[in-house]
Amino acid sequence: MMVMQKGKRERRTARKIIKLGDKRECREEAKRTNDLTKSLEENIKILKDKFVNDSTVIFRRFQNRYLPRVKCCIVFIEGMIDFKHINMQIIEPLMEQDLRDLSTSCNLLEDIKNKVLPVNDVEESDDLERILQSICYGDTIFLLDGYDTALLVESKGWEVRAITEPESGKVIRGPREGFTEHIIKNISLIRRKIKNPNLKFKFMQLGKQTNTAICITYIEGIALESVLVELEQRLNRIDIDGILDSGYIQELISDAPLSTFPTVGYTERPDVVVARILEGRIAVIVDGSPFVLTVPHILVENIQVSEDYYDHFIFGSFNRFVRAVASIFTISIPAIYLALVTYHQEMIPTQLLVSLSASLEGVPLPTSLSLIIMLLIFDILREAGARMPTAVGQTVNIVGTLVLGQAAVEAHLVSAPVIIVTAISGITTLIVPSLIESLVLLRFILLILSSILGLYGYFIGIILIYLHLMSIRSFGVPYMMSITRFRNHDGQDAWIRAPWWTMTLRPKIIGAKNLVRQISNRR
Amino acid sequence: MRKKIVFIPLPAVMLFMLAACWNYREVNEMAVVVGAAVDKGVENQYILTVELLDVSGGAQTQVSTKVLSVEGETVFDAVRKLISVEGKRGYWGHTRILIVSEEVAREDIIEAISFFRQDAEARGDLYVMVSKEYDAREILNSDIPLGDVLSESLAKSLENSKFLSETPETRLYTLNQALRSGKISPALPVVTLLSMDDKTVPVLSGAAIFQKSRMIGYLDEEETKAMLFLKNEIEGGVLVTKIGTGRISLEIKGNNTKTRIKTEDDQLMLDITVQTKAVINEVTGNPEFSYMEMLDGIKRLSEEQLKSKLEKIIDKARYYRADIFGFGQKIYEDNPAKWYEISDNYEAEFANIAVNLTVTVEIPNTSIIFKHLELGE
Repeated sequence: MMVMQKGKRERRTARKIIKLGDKRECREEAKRTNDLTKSLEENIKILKDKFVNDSTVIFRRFQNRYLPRVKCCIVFIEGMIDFKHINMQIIEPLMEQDLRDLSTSCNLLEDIKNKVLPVNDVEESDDLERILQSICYGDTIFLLDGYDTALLVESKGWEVRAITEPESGKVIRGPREGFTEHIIKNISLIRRKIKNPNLKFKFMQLGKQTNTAICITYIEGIALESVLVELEQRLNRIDIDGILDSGYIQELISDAPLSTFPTVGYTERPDVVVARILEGRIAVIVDGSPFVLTVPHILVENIQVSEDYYDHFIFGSFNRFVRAVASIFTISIPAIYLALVTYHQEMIPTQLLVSLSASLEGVPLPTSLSLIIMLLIFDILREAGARMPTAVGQTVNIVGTLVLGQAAVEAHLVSAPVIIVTAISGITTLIVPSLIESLVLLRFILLILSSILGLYGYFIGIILIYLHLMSIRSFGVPYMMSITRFRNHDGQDAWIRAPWWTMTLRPKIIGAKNLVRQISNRR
Repeated sequence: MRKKIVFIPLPAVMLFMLAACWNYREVNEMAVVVGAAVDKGVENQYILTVELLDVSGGAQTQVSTKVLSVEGETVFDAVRKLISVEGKRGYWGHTRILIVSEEVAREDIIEAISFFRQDAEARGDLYVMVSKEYDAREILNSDIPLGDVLSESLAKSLENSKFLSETPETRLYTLNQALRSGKISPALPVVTLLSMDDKTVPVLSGAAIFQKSRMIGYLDEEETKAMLFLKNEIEGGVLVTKIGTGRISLEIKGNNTKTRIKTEDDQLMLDITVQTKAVINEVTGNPEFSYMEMLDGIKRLSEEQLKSKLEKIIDKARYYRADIFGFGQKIYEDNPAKWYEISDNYEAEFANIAVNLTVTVEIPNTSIIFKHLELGE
C-alpha cells in the first residue's frame, strides 16, 4: 500500500539521468530535423504539435514588466512540477526583475540563465528530442523569442511516498528506513551510509516508452570490473518498451531465468544494499521501484538477514540455522510424511503408526491427494491474505484456521496429521521470503515424486534440486558458493555468522578484487 | 546430443524395475499384526494365530486388539488365508513377537519361523518364544496385564528382562544365526500362563533349549541365569546367597565371563573365569558376623554357591548334549582347524569337554546399613 505524503513535494536534481542517456539518444542526434526555430510562436507550435491531445501540458506566455518586447513562454506538465517553485523561482524573477540593463547584451538567453533564474539546475539545449524528454521528466522549458535554443529549468516536484519501514524484511534491531519509489531519494539513502567518493552512480535509461531511469551503484576498487562490464552489457541489451518495477530487469538480466531460484538479489532495505556493495556486489536502482537489485546473487544470501549482523553472533548464527533448516523442512516435510505413511510404514514407530491409523480411519481421500489439496488451500489462503485489505484479511484468517483446520478434521474430510504437516510446511515457507517462489513449487514437485516412488522419489527430487543449484551461476559466481565448503573463509558467513573480528576477508570471488575487509581484529 | 536424450529416461525406467515389490498403501488399509503364534493344526499342518491392531478413530484414539486364528498347510498359506477372515492384508512390519507352541518347537522350529525369516515385511528383531503347557494361541488370547496390546507388553517385558536375567532375550536374527552356524544351541524364552485373581496373564519363565532345530528341554529361572552367566550375557539381576537360615540378596552390577580354550595333548579344555561385581542390597535373618568378616564371608559363600549353580547347568547341558553356551563358537574362533576336526561329532565331544571354572564375586562398595534391622527394646 502506498502511503502518499500530502503537502510535501520532492525536488531533487536528476540532470545526470538525461545526460548519461543511452546510445539511442546519440543515434537520434544525427537525424535531427525538426529543431527549434528563432520564432517563439513557431516553437510553441512545434511543441504543441508534439503534445497534441495532451491537455496536461501547460504553455504559459508572459512578458517582462520593464521590457515588454521580450516575449517568452514556459512549458511544463501539470503534476510533474512544483507550482510554487515555478511561480517563485521562474515566473516571478522573469516578470518582475528589471531586464533593461541586460537587453544590451548580445545573448539575452545566456544572461537570463546566468543572472535571472535562481534555480540550481538550468541547462541550454537546442535538441528537440532532449527538450521533450525534459518536459516529460518534470523540467520546465523556457523559450525566448528570437532564440532557437531553450532553457531546461529544473522544476521537478511530485507526490512521493515517505520513507517508511519496509513491509518485507522487518527487523527488531537495525535501521528502519526502506527504499521508496523515488530513485534520487533511494540514492541518497545509500549515499548517506557510504560517505566515500569511490561510491559510484552510473545512470542509464531503459524502456523505449517509459524512459525509466536506472542507476548502477558500486564502490570503485571493491566491485569486480568484469561483473560491472557484464552487467552493463546485459542492461544495454534490454530493449523492452516499459519498465514498471525492478522485477522486469531482474528477469531480463538473470543468468538462469527459467530457474525459480533468484540469481539476482533484491531488497527493500538500504542497509542490506550497502552491506552487499561493501562485499563487492553491484546494485541496480530502478526508478519507481522500492526494490533494489544486487548482483552477483548466491543462494546463501537468501538466508542472510541484516539482523544477523546486528545481533550477537551466536544468536545470529542460531537464527540463520533455523532459517536454513526451515527452508529445507518446508519442501521436505509433506513429501517425507507421505512417503513414510504410504510406502515405508516399517519406519514409523509402532505407537505413532497406531495413532496415525486411528486418525486416518474414515477419511475418504488418499493421503497424497489430501496433502496436495491442503497445500493448495494453504497457498490460496496465503495469496488471498497478501492481496486482501487488512480488514478482510482477518476474516480470511479466521475462516482458514477454523473452517479448514478444525472443522475439516472433525468432519473426517482430512486427517489431523495432514493438517499439522500442511501447517508446518506453510509456516516454514514464510521464514525465507525471497525463496517463496521456489519453495512453494518445489514442495509440490517433491510431493508428487514421493507419491509415485516413496522415499526414492523424494531423494531423486532432492538430488535433482541439488544438481540444479550446483549448475547455475550468477554473473560468473557459482550459486552454491560458501554453502558447500567450510575451508578458509568460505563458510564464515553461510551456515553460521562468524563474529565480526574473524571476518577479516570479503567473500571469495565476489570480493576478490579487494579481499581484505579488515586487518585482523582478533581480541 | 540425441543419443544423450535417449539415455535420460533409462535410469527412470530402471528405477521402477529395481525398486522391488512395494506399493502405495494407506495406513488404514492394512491390518497391523503385532504378534503371531504358531500351533500344530487339527486338520492342516499349522494354526496361525495373529493379534491385530483394531484402531478406532474419532475424538479419542482407541486402541484394542483382535485375535484371529486360521489353519493352513504352511505358515504362509495361513497368512494368505487370513485375508479372507480379516478382509485386509496383514502388515508384518510391526510384528513384535512370535510364539511357537512346544509341540511345534519339539518337532522342528525352522518350519514355523521360515516365513518370518524370508518375508520382506517381517523384521529380524522380533522376539521368538516358546509356549509351555499351553498352546501358543492361548497365550495370545489371554488377558493383558498392562496396556492395550498383549504382544507389546510381552515384548516390553522381554526387553526389560535384562534387569532380571532370568530369560534369554532372543530375537529372530540371533535364532537364525544360531541355527545356521551349528556352533551354539539356541535357547528361547518360555512363556506360560499364570492365574491371578480373575485374570490369566502370560508370564515369562526360564528358557527352552534346543538341539539343532528341535527343542529338547526346559531350564528354570535359576538355570537360565546360570546359562546367561556362562554366555556372558548378564547385565543385572539378583544373586541370592544363603547364610544358614538367612538370605543375602546381591544386586549384580556387572559381570565379565571370559572363556579361554586350552589344548593339552590334543584334549580340549575350557578355562572359564566369571568375574561378578555386586552390591549387598538386602539382608534377612540375623547372620552374626562382624563387618569385615561378614563381607569376606558373603563373598566366599556367594562364590561357592554361584560356582555350584554354574557347574549344575553345565552338567545339565551335557546331559542334553546341547551346547547352549556357545563353546563351539569359541572353539571355532580360537582354533578353526580343531573345530572342523570335531564338528562332525560335536555333541559327543561337548559332553566330555573339560571345564575349569573360576568364580570371583567382588563387592566393591557396601552400604553402612549392612546390618539386619533389629527391633528396639
